[in-house]
Amino acid sequence: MTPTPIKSICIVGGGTAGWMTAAGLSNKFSDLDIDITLIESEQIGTVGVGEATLPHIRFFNNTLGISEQDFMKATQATFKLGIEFCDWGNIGDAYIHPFGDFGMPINGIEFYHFWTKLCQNSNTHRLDSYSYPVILAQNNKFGHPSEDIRQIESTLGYAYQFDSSLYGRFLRDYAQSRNVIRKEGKIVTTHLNAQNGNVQSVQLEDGSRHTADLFIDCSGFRGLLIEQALRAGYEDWSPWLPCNRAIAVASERLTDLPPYTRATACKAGWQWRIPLQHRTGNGYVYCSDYISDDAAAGDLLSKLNSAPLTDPKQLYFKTGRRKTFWSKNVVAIGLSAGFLEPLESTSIHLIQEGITELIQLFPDMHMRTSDRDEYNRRMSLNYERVRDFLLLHYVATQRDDSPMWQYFQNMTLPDSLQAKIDAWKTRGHIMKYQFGVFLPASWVAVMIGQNLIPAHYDPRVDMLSHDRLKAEAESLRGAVRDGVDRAMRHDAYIQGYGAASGTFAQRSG
Amino acid sequence: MTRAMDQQDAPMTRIAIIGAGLAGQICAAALRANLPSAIDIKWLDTGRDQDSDIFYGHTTPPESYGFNLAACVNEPDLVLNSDTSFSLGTQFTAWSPQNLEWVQCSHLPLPVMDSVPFHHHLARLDIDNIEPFLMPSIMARNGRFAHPPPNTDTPLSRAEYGYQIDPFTYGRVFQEAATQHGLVLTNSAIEAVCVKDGHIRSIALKNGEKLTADLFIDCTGPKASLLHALGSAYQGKRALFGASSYQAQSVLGFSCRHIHGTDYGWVSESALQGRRINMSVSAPEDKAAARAAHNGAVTTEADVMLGRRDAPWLGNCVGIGHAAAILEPISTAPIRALQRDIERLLRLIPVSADMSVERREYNRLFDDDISHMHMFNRSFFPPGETTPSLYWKQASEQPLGEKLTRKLTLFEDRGVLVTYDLEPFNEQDWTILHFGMRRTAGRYDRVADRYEKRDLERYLNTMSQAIKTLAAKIPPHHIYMQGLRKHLSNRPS
Ligand SMILES: Cc1cc2nc3c(=O)[nH]c(=O)nc-3n(C[C@H](O)[C@H](O)[C@H](O)COP(=O)(O)OP(=O)(O)OC[C@H]3O[C@@H](n4cnc5c(N)ncnc54)[C@H](O)[C@@H]3O)c2cc1C
Repeated sequence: MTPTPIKSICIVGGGTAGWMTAAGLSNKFSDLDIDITLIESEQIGTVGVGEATLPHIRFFNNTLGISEQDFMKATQATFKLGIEFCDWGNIGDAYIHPFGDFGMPINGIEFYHFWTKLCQNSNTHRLDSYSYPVILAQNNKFGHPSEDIRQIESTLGYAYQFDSSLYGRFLRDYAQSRNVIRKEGKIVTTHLNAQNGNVQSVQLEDGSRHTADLFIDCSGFRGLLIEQALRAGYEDWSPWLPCNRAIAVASERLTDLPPYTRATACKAGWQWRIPLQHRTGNGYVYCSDYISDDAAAGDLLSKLNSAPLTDPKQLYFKTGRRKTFWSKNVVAIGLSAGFLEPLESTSIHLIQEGITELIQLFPDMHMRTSDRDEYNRRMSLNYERVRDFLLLHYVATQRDDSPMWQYFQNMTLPDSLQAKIDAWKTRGHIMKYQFGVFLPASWVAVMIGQNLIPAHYDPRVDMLSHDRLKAEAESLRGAVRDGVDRAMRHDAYIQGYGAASGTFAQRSG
Repeated sequence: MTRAMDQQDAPMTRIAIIGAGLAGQICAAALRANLPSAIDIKWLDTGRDQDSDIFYGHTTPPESYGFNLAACVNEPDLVLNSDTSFSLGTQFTAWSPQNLEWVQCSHLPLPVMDSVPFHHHLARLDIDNIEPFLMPSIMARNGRFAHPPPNTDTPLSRAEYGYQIDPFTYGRVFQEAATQHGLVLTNSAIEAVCVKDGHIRSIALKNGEKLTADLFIDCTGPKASLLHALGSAYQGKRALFGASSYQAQSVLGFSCRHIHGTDYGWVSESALQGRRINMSVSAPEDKAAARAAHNGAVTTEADVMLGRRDAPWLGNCVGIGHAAAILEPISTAPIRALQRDIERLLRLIPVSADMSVERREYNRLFDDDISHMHMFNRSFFPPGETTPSLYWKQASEQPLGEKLTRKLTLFEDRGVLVTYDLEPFNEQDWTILHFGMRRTAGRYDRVADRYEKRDLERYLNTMSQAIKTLAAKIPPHHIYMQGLRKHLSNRPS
C-alpha cells in the first residue's frame, strides 16, 4: 500500500483535551500540509475543573516552546511538589506523596530498605524526613531543581496547579496562531461512510457540514463520536472505584500559598484543595450510595479554609474507560476516552499520553488495524495502571468507619494489585513496570504513608554496617534540613521568578 | 536439630548452589559478593558435565561490565587472568538462505531529530544500510578497538562493548573470585535428591554426606537434576547440535565474533587472547556436517533442546542458566539470560522459609525475560523459508507469536518500534537487527519531511565521514590489547 497522507483533522470539543490536542498537533505538523479544525460549543461549555497536574506536563509545554513564566502568569499557576493525603491510612494521619525520591540508593538498593532496617532498630524518623521535596512542601517553600546531582536540590520534581479554563484559553491562542481553525457551534448529526463505517462529516445546528480524514473526539463524557456514533463501548470500573459524583467550589486565595495539593479522605469519598495564585479550588468526590448531594455540598462548604467565591457546581461521572480508544477514523482523547477520579491528578496526563501516542502512531488514509491496535494496547495499559494505583489508596488503610470504607475492606482486588501489595508487605519489593506513569517511588510513598510497613527489608542491606548506615542516614537528613533552610517561600519565589499574575479573584454575582 | 522447614516464618539463612559450570561459577561469585555473611552458602560441584556450556556462546552483552563488577570480577581480572577479549558485536555473513550480511553491534541511543527517530530519516532517503552511521560496526568490521570514553562528543562514546569469551576460562575467573570471598567448593556426585511436599529436604551425596539448605540453586545445566526431581516440566522447542574447537593464534583476531551461515546451520569464530574458538551448530540430523567444519579438531560437543521451564522456581529450588532455559547463541541472549537470572534472584533472595511471594514474582519476571529474548532470537529468521536445509527450515517455522508479530508489523509498515516492559534488548538492538534482516519501513514519520533533503544528506554525510575517519585512527584489537595488558601489569597493586 502506498502511503496516502491525511490532509485534514477535525477536533470535536474545546475543553482542556481539545485545545491540548490542537496545540500538540499544530506544533508537530507545522509546515506540513494538514488542516486542523476545532469545533466547540459555547452553549454546552466545558467541565471547567481539573487544576492539578503531574510533572510530565512540563515536557508538553517545553515541546510547544512555551515560556514557563508566561504560562504561569496566564493560568494563575502555582508550583506543585506533590499531594498531601490526610486521613487515608487512619483518621489523623497525613503524608505527602512527592514528585521525587526518598533518599538515594546505596549500592544499588533503594534507600527505603535501609530505612525499614533502621525502623526495626528503634529509629523514630519518618521516611519523609529523608525526602527534600516533602520537607520543602511542608514548609511552604519552593525552588527549581538543581542540575547538579550531588546537590540535595536535585532530588525533586515538580508540576503545576492552574486554572484549567485559562490553560485552555492560553493553548487556544497558541493553536490559532499556528493556523488551527476554530468553529463555534453545536454538532447535531454525525454522518458515517456507508462503506467503511468511518465518520465522514459532522453537521452543526446551522446546517453546515464539516468533513475530515481523521476525527479526534474531545467532546467530554458524552463521547459524541466514539460512543454515540461508533458505539465503542465502556468498560465500567465502578465496582473498584465507586465514586461517581463531585461537587466543586472556588474559594479565596490561601495566605500561605502551599506548593502542594491536598486530598482529605472522608466518610463517603474525599475532598481536594488546590491552591492557585488568585483563588483556591475545592471539591468533594463522593459515591452517591453513601451520601446525598446536599449533605456532600454542606460538608464541603463547612470545611473550606477560605471564604467561598462561587456557588457549588455538581458533576456526574462513571469510572472506567472506552473499550477502544481508537475506532475507525476516530480517536478519543480526554473525558471521552475514560474517567479516573482526580485523586492523583492523572487526567491531564492521560490526555498528554493520548496525544503523544497518536503522534507516534499517526495514521494515513488506510487507517490500518495494526496502528489502532497498538494505540489501544498502549492506552489501555496506561489507564489500567493508573486504576490500580488509585485503588491502592482506598485499600491500603485501616479505616472501616463508614459503609464506604467497609466496602473497600471486603473487596477482592484485581490480581495485578493484590500481587503488588503482597510483594511489598512481605519484603518491600516493588513490582515495577516501564510503561505507566507511577514509578516505584510513588508506590513506596503511598504504601508507607498509609502504614503498610514491609515485614522484611532486602537481605543485601545487611552488607552495610549498622553504624555506617546510621551515619549515612543522619547526613542525608541534615542535607535535607539545610537545603530547606536555604530555600525561599513559595509565594515569594513566584514573585521573584516573574510568574506572578498580580490579580486575585472576587466573589462573582 | 529442631530447625523445621515447616516453620513458614523461620529465617532463610542457608543457600546451596549445586553445579560448577559457567552458571554455578557466576552465580557463586555474585551471591557471595552481594549477600551478608549471616547467609551461609554451600557450593557443590557434581562432576564435570558442562559440555553444553558451549551453548552460552562466545560473546557477552555490554551489561556484563557492570554485572561482573557487582560480582567482584573486574575487567582487568578478566583481561589478565583469562583469554577474554573485547567484543563490539557479531558480524554475520551468508546469513539465512537470503544471504544477508551485517554487524549486529550495541549502541547508545541514535540521534533523534525533531523527535523523529533516526531510522525514519534514513527511510525517507531510501537508505537501507544503517552501518555507516554506527561507530562500533565500522570498528568491528576493521578489527579495531578502544574503550568508549564517557560523555564526550566523539562517535566512539556512542559505542558499547561486551566480551568475547570461552565459557570455560571465563567461568574460572568467577570461581576464583567466589573462592577468594570464602566460598568452598565441594566435589561429589549426587546420590539422591530427597523431596517432600514439593520441597527439597536434602541432597544425599555420593561421598556419604548430606547437604541441607533452605534454598537450593540448580546450576546443573540442561539436565536440571534438582528441578527434575521436583517434577518440573520443560517446554522443548527445537533440538540443536553444537561442536566447538580451538585454534592457536599468535595475533589476537578481530574485535567481534563472526557468524557465517551454512547449509547445515552456522559456524562462528571468536577471537580470544592466544587462540580462536570456533563453533558450529546444526540440526541433530546434520551432526556430521557440523563436526566436519572443525577438520577433526572438535574438543567439545553437545546436543541441546532449545526451550524453557514452565517455572524455574519450584518449592525451595531455583534453576539458573541452562537449568531454566536454553537459547540459541546467535545473539548475546544466553549470557543475558544467565545474568538476568542471577540479578532477579539477588533482588528476591527469600526472607523466610515461606518463599511463595518471591517464587511467584521470580517466575513472572523470568517469563517476561525469556519470552522477550526468544522474540529477539526468533527475529533472525525470516518466517516461512522454503529450503531443503533442516536447520533453516525448522528455525523459520517457529511461530512468531502475538507480541513479535506486532513488533514486525509495525516496523515493516511504518518504522515504529513496539516496546514491552523492561525488555532485555533495547531499541537500538532491534533497529540494527531489522536493518540487518533487510526489514525496511513502508513509510516514515511525515515530520521528517520538515528537513530539507539536502540538509539531511549533508548531515548524514558528515556523520558517516567522521565515523570513518575516526575508526581509521583507532588501533587494531591486538595492538590495543597489548597496550592494555602492559598498562595493567605495571599498575601499582
Ligand atoms: C471533579 C473533577 C475533578 C478533576 N480534577 C482534575 C485534576 O485535578 N487534574 C486533572 O488532570 N484532571 C482533573 N479532572 C479531569 C479534567 O477536568 C478533564 O480531563 C479535562 O478537563 C478534559 O476535559 P475534556 O476536554 O475532555 O472535556 P470537556 O471539558 O467536557 O470539554 C468537552 C468539549 O466538547 C464540546 N462539545 C461537547 N458536545 C458538543 C457538541 N455536540 N457540539 C460541539 N461541541 C461539543 C464542549 O463544548 C467542550 O468544548 C477532573 C475532572 C472532574 C470531573
